[in-house]
Amino acid sequence: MKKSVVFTVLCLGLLFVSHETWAQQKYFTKSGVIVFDAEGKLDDIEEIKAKTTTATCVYDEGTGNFEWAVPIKSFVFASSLMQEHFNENYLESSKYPKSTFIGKVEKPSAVNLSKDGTYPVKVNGKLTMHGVTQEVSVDGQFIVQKGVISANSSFDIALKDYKIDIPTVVFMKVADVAKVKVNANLQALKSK
Amino acid sequence: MKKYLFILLALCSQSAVFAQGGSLLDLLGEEEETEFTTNAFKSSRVINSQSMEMLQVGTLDFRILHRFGALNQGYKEFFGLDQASMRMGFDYGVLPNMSIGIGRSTSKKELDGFVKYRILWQSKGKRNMPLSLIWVSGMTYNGLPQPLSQPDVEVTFSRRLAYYHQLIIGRKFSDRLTLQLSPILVHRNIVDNILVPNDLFAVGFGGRCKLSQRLALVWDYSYLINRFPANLQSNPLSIGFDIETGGHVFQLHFSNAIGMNERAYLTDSNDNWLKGDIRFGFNLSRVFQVKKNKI
Repeated sequence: MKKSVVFTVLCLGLLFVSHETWAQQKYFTKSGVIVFDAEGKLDDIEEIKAKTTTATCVYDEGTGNFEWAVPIKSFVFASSLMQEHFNENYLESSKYPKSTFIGKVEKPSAVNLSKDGTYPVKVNGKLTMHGVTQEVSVDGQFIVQKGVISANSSFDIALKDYKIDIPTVVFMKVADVAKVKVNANLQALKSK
Repeated sequence: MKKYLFILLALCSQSAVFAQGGSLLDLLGEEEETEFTTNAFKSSRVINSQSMEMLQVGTLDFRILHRFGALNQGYKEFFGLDQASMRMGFDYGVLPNMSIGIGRSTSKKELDGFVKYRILWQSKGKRNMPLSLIWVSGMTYNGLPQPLSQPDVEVTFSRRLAYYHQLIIGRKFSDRLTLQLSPILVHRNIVDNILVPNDLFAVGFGGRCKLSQRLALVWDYSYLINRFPANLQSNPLSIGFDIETGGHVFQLHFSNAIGMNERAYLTDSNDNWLKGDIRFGFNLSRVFQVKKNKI
């Protein structure tokens, strides 16, 4: 009897320990920042740049799965007209309201988010934008500083790959390849 | 003992299985947001009348409007293009729901100004609103040296003035189709004779059918309710195309109306479509961002 009680306690203890160490912690944000820049060759006056601060993402430390979603209408431009064209003509945000990225971090075990440091990673996955899905592979890094976790990356997107047509009248103003910068501060996701 | 081990294993494996199902983003849950309708029209005017579209905050819309002579004058007048009447105006987006504007027309050397306020904004999602409701109030000033038809009537400042108040009820039915209904009252402080009403009521019917990303068919008709003499005059009807080219919107159209403000296109005599007294005209709108958005 005594033996079995001890064993039960041991088992339960082990169970908790196992959850502590093996549990696959997930991290998220609802305020990820994405900036993109499509400055063309001929445009010195107006910058073609937009920013959103409401991108959402979830990262699963155990599997390396990394998923992002961003509402297209949340991108803000300095010029309202440009923003209107972006939504109405280029990204067609009423038809395709969201852009998503479903990917996986290569070798997630090399990243230890509970320890300070900089962890360069490669993320592979599917980027969906303007209704078109493309396989992408981007370099980025996790930075843990005093327990604050941030993820950032910058990469290029060829607008043609996503069937975003820039009309000939303005093609010199808008770059063929847009530079995208991503930055997110991640918080631990508490399971409900 | 085996039993415990089994439970332990079962618990461990269960938690592992649980962690893998479904999309990660689903874990966050999604809050429904209100999505406001935008781009019901390409421009803040259907053709002559105000549209349900507002200017964005901090943007200045420089508008140049031309109306040419009647097409049926033939080559002698180069199908009306030899004569032109114009209005130049500036509109500005003060608040998300409020715009103001001023303009000057060559016809009657008329100055006009207006305030446009959006009371309801069509939206879906969290807050569902089937239509937009917009109020426009404006004023015109006749700048002619002799603005009155009777030379014996003293010309005073107030006799040069007219006012208009309009309610626009509009709905963007789909990306392709937008329709609006706009009752309007035009008040002139002085009219030619006792039979002409000082208060003129009319109802506007405007719409847009988008043909492509940059091209839309627009129409603008006003039915005048108490005009005198109603049987001899035509109601203003304009049909045209909106062409968008980056920073500009060109509105090319055919119309029987000459006036380019509410007082003028509603109360001045319009030509008859059926007799071929149609005029070519265009509105050119160039939008400048005066106050930049913070990014």
